[in-house]
Amino acid sequence: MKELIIQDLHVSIEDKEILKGVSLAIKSNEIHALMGPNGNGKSTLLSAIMGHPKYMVTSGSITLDGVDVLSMSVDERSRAGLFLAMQYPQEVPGVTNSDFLRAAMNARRETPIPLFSFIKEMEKTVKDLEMKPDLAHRFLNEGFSGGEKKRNEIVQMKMLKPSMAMLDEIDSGLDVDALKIVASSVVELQKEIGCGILAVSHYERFYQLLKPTHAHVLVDGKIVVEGNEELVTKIDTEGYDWIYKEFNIVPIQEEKKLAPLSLGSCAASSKGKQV
Amino acid sequence: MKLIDVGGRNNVIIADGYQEWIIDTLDPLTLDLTCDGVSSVFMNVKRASNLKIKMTVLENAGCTLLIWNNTETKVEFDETYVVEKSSYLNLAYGECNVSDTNRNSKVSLMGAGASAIIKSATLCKSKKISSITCESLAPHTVGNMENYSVVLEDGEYKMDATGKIVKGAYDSRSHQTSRALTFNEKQKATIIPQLLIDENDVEASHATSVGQIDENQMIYLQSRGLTHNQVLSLITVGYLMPIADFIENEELQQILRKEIESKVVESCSI
Repeated sequence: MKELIIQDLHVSIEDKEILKGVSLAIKSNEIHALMGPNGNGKSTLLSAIMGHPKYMVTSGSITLDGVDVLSMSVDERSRAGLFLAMQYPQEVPGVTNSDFLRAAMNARRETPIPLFSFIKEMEKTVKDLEMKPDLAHRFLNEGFSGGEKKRNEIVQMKMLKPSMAMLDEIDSGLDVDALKIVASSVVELQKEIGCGILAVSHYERFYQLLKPTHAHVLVDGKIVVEGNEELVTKIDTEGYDWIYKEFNIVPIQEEKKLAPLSLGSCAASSKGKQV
Repeated sequence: MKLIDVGGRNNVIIADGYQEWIIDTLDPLTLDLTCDGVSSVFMNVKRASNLKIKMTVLENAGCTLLIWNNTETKVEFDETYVVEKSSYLNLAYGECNVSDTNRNSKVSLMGAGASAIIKSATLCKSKKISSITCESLAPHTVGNMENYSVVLEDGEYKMDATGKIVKGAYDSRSHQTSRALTFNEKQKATIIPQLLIDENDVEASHATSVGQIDENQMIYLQSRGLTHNQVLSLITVGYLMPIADFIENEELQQILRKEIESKVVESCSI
């Protein structure tokens, strides 16, 4: 039995406090739904748990089975059993899915996984997620559609078998059929390895398939309401207004960033520079 | 694997099919090569000081040449290639060694319909200076150039990449991509891409980047359990590995892949 405990967590980005005292406990075999209006700290919580350096933990604690998570680097957290299926998975040209996943699997094993075993497991996982068989040889997420990227996150999750998995809007960008495939894969994996799950989504449809054991609503950096699957249904039908009224709270309005206007450039990467 | 030492034969008509050559001399060496069929050559340069390669690919012929620089001392390459009418040259150059290199390479697409693919991959731990030119001298010619480099500590990389289309070489194309990956701000990498175009009815482009691994990519890969150094290794191998598959010979590909991987792991674990 694994347990992830978050206590009174405060997190800032560039001196702006986003999380203002979040407490949460997730055990093996539990599925927690994390809901809330946009821009109120859901993704920040998940990224802070995973250790993204952009998110500064100013106070509070995170432990996994009593071990301090905050003192670990990102890769150490992963090897300790945490997994974050990202909302916007990165594209990494030049690195194939199979090379990457094999390296990631070997990073948590004492002896490297035999090539044949790896290929067999990868082929089965790719088939389970109904992805194209050439996935293993394609560069990591490069040229993938939004839905393919999300499915590939679940491929990685199934191969790495975490003890605590976090899903950040993994259902966005998925069509109805893909949503079912992803949800059933997550549920199957959870039954198989008994991991705990913390899932962020805006849609009841996804939660109906996941069947969360717990639900939490995060508003203005704090968890304001907790419950079970019924809470998800209530929010789906009534929205968040009743929470604002009942608890006399005002949600943070998501900032709309203006996209920079390009006047055109040469084909060189904007990140590249002559040294 | 059968290895052919071409040290004693300077004028070589390249036989059809696949062959492997070893260059193993510290004396200055000039190779006059002619390709009149369809051939592919892996040139393993073990020792050299001053290596001149002059190659002509005759009309309707095709040559794939992979030069692998494995020297332990400084070497100068001076290469000229002439590609005649309706023929092709696939030219690749790879190096993971620690000695300095000066390389000048010029590909002239002399006849109508001639084409060239020019690639290089460099794991740079020393001074690696290259100048590569692909010139279109006749109509309907195509030159595509790709240079990839990973610059490590104490490495200095300089690449002058030039695509040239002369007047009269209409309906020609010249494209080039050059990328250098550095691991910190102290490492020196310079890429100078040039397009010299003197004809209107052509296509030409260049893409260049010099920079460090994207921070978001680094965190993404680390979030799956890979250490910083493992991520560097993985991305470096990804930059250099395509050169290993340049010649369709599985045995050679395996050897080069292993060599690249071992050199990268050795370099990135420092």
